[in-house]
Amino acid sequence: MTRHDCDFLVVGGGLAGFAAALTAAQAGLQVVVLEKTAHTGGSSAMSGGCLAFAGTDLQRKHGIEDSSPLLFSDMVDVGKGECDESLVRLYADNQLHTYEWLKRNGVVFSDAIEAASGQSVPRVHNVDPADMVRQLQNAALATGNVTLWLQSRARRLLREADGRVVGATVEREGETLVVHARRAVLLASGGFVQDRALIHRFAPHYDNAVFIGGEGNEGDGLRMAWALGADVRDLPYIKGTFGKHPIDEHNHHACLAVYKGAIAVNQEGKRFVDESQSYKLLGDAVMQQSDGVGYQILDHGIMHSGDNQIRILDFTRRLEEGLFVQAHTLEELARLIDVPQEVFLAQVSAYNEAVRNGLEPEFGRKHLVHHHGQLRTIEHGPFYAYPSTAAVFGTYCGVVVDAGLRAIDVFGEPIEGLLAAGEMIGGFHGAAYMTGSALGKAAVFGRLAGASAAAMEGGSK
Amino acid sequence: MKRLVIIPQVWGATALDTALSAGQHLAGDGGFSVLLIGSQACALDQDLACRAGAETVYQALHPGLQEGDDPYAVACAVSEALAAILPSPREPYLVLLPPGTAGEELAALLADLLDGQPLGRCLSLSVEGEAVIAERAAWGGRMRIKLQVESGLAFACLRAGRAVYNLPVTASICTLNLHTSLPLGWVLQTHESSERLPPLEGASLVVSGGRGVNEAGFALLEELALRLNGTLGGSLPAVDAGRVPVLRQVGVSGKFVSPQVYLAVGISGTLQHLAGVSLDSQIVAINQDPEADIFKVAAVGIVAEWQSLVPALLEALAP
Amino acid sequence: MKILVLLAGVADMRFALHPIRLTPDAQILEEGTARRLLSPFDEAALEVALKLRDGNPDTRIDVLLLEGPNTENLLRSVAAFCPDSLQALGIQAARLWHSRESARQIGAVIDQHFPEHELVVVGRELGDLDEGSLPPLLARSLRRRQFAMAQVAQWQGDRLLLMRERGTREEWLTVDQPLLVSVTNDKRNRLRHPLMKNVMAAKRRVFTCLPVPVAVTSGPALRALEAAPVTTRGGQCQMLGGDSAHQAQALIGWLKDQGVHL
Repeated sequence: MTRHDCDFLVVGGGLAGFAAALTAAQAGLQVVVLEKTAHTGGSSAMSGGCLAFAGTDLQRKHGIEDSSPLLFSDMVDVGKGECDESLVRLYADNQLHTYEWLKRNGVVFSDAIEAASGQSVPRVHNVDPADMVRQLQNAALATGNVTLWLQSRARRLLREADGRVVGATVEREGETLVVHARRAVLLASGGFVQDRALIHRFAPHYDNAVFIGGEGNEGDGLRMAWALGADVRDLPYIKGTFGKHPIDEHNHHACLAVYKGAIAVNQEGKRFVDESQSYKLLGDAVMQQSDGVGYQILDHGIMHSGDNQIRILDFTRRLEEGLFVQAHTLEELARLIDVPQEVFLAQVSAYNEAVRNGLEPEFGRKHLVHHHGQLRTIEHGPFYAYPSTAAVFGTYCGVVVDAGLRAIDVFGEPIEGLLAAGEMIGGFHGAAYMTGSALGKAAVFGRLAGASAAAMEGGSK
Repeated sequence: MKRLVIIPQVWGATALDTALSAGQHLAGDGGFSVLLIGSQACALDQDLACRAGAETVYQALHPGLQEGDDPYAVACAVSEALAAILPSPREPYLVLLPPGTAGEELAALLADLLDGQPLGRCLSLSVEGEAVIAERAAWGGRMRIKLQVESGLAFACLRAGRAVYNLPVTASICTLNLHTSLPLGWVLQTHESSERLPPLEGASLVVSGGRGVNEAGFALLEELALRLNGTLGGSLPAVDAGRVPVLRQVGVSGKFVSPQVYLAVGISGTLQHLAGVSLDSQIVAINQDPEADIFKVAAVGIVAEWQSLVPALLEALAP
Repeated sequence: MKILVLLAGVADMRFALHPIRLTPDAQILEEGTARRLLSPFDEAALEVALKLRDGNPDTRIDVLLLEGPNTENLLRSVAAFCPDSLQALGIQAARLWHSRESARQIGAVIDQHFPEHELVVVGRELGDLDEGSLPPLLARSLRRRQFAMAQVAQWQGDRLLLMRERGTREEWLTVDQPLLVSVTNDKRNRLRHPLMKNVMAAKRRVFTCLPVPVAVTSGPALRALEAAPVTTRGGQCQMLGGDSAHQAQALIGWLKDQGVHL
């Protein structure tokens, strides 16, 4: 079999892969990046482009005071104590430098900083994610130390007798070859949104959800590491975002009319959750319902309280696209969405009654969203329903890693020569995740993995 | 390669004009002939065909042909006429039908009846030796396909603007009396629909609304059409939304209109829609989006919301 | 009453077109990830059938979807409307440029598998390569008459009525023989929203494909397939500014200059 040699083999051409490749190349390593599909970018390029950073110049410009310790404590809170705090610490300690490094390498941040659930202060920074990956890719190739192979799939990791990972077998142009890496192999091949069987294995209640991600995200890296005895974490916490229309292939982002006062009912016509919660928790809640489907119910007033410039609130635009079910009366709406009319009417009525009297409706809803906004009634026709399921954009779980991004086996021992970064690691997010931390960790840990490889000694022959 | 233009007389003056224009466009060295078909001879139609430069004008008469005929009945009558006109079924012949839905249907039926090739709605047609080359739109107008017919009869429709009628008259008129039994037409119940405005066909001014105009807006556009002595049209999305009936749909899958002035209100200007508006028409664009494509093809543009502009127009036009 | 609905789907206009080219042996090759969805005419045809079934539970709807990009997903979205049967039809929608042959092939399948279907319903244009020739040719192939451009279909007792508008008239036909009906879009036949439980059930379905006979009908040769050139209409657009009253006056002035009678 043909053999290629390099210092550092990176599996996956998304944000984590290129952050690692560029860092290692800048340190003088010879790098090979493998990308299974015909295009780089993967899920990173399809994402919303949100990155959570704390203490940046942009935040200061907007008068926002933030710090790594505050970021750390917010993340641990969001993860409900399930996260590996050493990884959260790693992120918090290295994120600001990563932000600056990204900018130095051509990544352009937009001026706006957004707030998000779980963040004490606004810290969501925005980029064009496809452009970000392109910038890092171009910078990496420009060093002269990086070779990119498209349509090249890593199949198995290669190990020496002493257990050290020294490379991988790769399928490329119809033949199998071997790539040896003197320092390390990095698995940055994303998660497994495209492997429904694996989703079913760990999160069967998400079978009916919609999965959106890079076409290559089939769990390749996870399996290769697993085969070597790598430990895995956070698998039960696969989550989706509520508000995805089950048959709309055009709009990837959710519609969250609930945040402007709509209620969510299931196929039985009943409310099932406090609609002011985070969209991931709402996602979990809807997947527990029949067929994984709910309906956001709103009236004329709520429909026109949206904002077509904000992705999750562009109600009238979606109305024009024909995505809302519309009716003159609630009775007619019930019929069109096939929910039991009596139950449905009673639910809306009870909700309105509570709101009018300043009481908490069922499920303890106090506000429109999180801790903001006053509840409103649903009573002025025409009435609308937005069929909603959850959209899973990433499987935020996978291989256990240490602070050097080394893969750790089931006995807690590092697997020499094997690193992992990005969507395929587990333990960082814990039970839930903070907006901007998923894409953020690809950049932060990708860069650290590259640095880790550069610090290693060239061990193999 | 001979060319023959077939014109069912009851289809009206526009059909005659556009069909003759297509004939002129494709005349080449050999010229073209015209087959007029109806229940009664029409000297005016024959005269126009002659002055448009036809070599021979056939006047086919079948007493059973009537207004509102099924295209199949027309096709049967035409087949009989063609049997008399065409020397041999195998000789290459380009047969043109008036552009539009009815012509396209007739082309398909004739091709089937006479074992020829239906080329349908052509964007361009040319003759290379004994072959006919047709270019058609596909994938919503985003692609072009080129088809070639090497032999036999080809039936096609082509829009080529208006005909000219100042050519020297050399044609002879030849009458054909047809007697084939025609298939029975549909037995239909008809009622008048509640249309206040004239149909799109032949209108010299069209006020047209797009997806940006709601039901109340269309009521205003109807008023405006009345005041301007024109008629009402709409884009496919507006028809889909139920704000204007489908017989007023303008576009590639709707009517083709060639008014002097086409007022496009709340219409973004997609290719599909513009394909229904003649290149000779002057477009007035009223749209709140200054980046809308319609402004690239309009003669006059107003960036405004119809909600303010249309009432302002109606007020300025008030007697 | 048995109804056969024929659907073709069209490339989604909201997205850039997928790569399409002609192979050296004149076959159309569609590559990349194409998004195909039901056209407004497909939707109208389907809704007409669904409304007839609503009005008379003895109505049976069988659906055939032509092959093409993304057939599996498109079948699922149609399955969500619960037709009595749904299969793919083994002819590429992109093949319909050869309208006579395609009509013969499709007609042969219908004759063989759906001989008792009184209504064959199809949109006025069947897919991206048909501009209206296919319905009349298919009617001929089936030896049926075509009622073209229907907008409404409804029951009156146990009689089936079809309606279309011509000029200022509505034309109503009482169906008394097997027909091919081509349907055009109309607000009365806007496709309904499918029920979500049916959408979810459809995700688990497996579909079959009905093959078409090999037809040998002489036809045109497909010589070229290219992207359409971007046509420019010389619009040197004169923009009218000011407030609404101003703009209105300016426009009226321009209309008068064009000779419009006000």
